[in-house]
Amino acid sequence: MLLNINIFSDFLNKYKRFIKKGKHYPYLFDSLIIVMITFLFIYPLFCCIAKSFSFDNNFSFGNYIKLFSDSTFLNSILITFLYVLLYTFGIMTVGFITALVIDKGEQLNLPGAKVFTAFLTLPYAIPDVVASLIWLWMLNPRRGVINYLLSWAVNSEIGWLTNSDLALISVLLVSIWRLFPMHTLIILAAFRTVPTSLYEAASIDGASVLRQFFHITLPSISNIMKFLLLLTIVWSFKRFTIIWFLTRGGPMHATETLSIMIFKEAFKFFNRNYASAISVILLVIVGVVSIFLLKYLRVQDGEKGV
Amino acid sequence: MHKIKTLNLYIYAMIFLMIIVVAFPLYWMVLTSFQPTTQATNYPPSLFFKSFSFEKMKWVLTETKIIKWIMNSLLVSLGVVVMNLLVSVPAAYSIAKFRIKFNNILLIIVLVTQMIPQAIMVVPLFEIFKSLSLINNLLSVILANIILTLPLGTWILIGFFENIPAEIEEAAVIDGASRRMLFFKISLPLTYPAMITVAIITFFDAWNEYMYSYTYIHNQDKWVGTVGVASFIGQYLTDWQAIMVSSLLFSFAPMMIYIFFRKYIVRGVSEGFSKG
Repeated sequence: MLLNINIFSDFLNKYKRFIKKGKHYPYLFDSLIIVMITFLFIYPLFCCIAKSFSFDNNFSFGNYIKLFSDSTFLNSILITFLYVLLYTFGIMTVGFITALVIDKGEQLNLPGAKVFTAFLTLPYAIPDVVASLIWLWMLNPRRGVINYLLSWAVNSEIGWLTNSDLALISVLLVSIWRLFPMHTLIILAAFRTVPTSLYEAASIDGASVLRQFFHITLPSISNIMKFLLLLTIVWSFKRFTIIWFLTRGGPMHATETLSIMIFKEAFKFFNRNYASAISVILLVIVGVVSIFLLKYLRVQDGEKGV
Repeated sequence: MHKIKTLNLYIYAMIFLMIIVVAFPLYWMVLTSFQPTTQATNYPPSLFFKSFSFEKMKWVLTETKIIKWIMNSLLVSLGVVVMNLLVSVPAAYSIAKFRIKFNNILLIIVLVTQMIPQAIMVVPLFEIFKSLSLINNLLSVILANIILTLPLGTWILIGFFENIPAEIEEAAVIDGASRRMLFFKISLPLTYPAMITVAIITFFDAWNEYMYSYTYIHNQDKWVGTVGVASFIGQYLTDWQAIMVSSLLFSFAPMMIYIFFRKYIVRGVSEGFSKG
C-alpha cells in the first residue's frame, strides 16, 4: 500500500515539474487533433482491417482468397492504374501548358491577362457533381451538344460514356477539365519562385529563351513539381464522384476503379466485409506507391519529413 | 518588335482556345437553364440565346426542395469550416513551434490521413455513426468531412506559423508574455489571412463532398445539395433543363466565393507550395 502511494506521489511530482517547465503545452495544443484523428481515422481504419478478415463470421483470409480469383477485382486494379497514370500525365501537361501561357501573357503585360487567368481557373469552383452533370448532358449521345458539334464530321451518335472503348477517355477528360485549375495555379506559383535575376544574368550571357527555360526554370521548380506529382498521384486514387456520375463504373466495368468497386460492393451488394478487404488492398497499393514515389523522387522538404 | 507581336498573337490564340474549352460547359449550363422549356433540350440545339425564360427556374424553386438542400449544404460546410479551424490551428501551431518527437509523428499521421481514399473510410465510419445513432443527422456528415479537410488545412497553416519570425515571440517572452498570450495575442492574429485561405478551401471541399452525404443521410429533408441535385438524374431522367437549373443554383455560392476571394485561394496555394 505504502509503495503504491510512493509511486503515485512520485508521478505527481514529475507531473508538476512537467507542467512547471511548460512541457505540456505541445500536447495541449495537439489534444483536439489527436481526438479527431483517433476517433475518425485510426479507429475506423482498424475496424476496416478487422472486418476484412471476417468471412462467414469467422476469422479467415476468405475474402482475400475470393478477391484474387475475382476477375472484376483484377480488372479494377488495372483500370485504377490506367486511370491514375493517364490522368496524372494529362493533368500535369494541361496544367503546365496553361501555366506557361498565362505566365507569358502576364510577362508581356497583355491587356486582360488577369481576367483570363480568373476565367481559366473557373472550374475550380464547380462542384464535382455539377461538373459531371453538365458533361453528362453535353455528352448525351442523342441530344448532346458535343455530338451536334461533331455532326459535320461524324455521322453517327457517338456513345461517349456507353462505348467501352471511349468511356475511360471521356471520364479522364472530364476529370481533367474539372481539376486542372489547381495545377495551373500551383505551377504558376512555382514559376514565380524563380528569381528574376537568374533570367537577367542569363540573357546578358546571351542564352536563348528556350535554353533559359531548360536550364533555369525547370531545375528551379523541379522540387515543387515532384511534390505536385506525388499529390496528384495520391489524390487520383481517391477519385470517386466524377466517375460515379458519368458511368457508375460501366459500361462492362470499363471505368470501374477500386474506389467505385468498394462503394458498389458495400452499398449496392451489401458485402461490407468483402468491400473492407478491397479497401485494405487499395490502402496497401496507395501506401506502396507513395513510399516508392517518396524514395524515387527524393522530395526534399527540410524538416517536414514528407 | 515584329517577333514579339507574332508571339502575342500566338498567346492570344492559345488563351482564346483554352477559354472556349473551359467556359463552354458553363455557358451550356446557363444556356440550357434559361431557354424556354420547349426549346431548351431540342435537337438540334441552338448555340445562342434566342429567347430568355425563367420558366424552369420557377418550377425548380417551387416544386423541389432545392433551397432546403442548399441551406443544408451551407450548414454542413460552415460547420466543417469552424470545426476544422478549431482543430487545425492549435495543432499547426504546435507542430510549427515545438520541435518534439511526438509532433513529428503527429505530422506524419496527418499526412497519411491525406492519402487515404474516401471509399475506404465510408463503411467503417458508417458503422460508427450508426452505433452513435448519428445516421440521418447532419453532424455525421460534418464529422466525416473534417477528416477529409483536416490534413490540407493543417499543412497550409503549419507553413504560415513557420513563417512567423521567432524573434517576435522571443521579444514577447522577454516582456513576460505567457504561452497562452504568445498564441492568442501574437501568433494567431498574424495568421488570420492563412485562416481565411484554409476556411475557403475547406468550404469548397465540404460543399463538393458527395459520398458521405449520400450514405449517411436518407431523409430527403436533410439532404445536402450534392445529393439533392444528383437525385434529379433518377427522378426526372430526361429533364435535362431541371438538372441544369439545379446545378446552376447549387454552384452559385462557390462561384461567388471564388470570384470575390480568389486572391486568398491563389495566395494559399502559392504559399503552401513555394515552401516546396
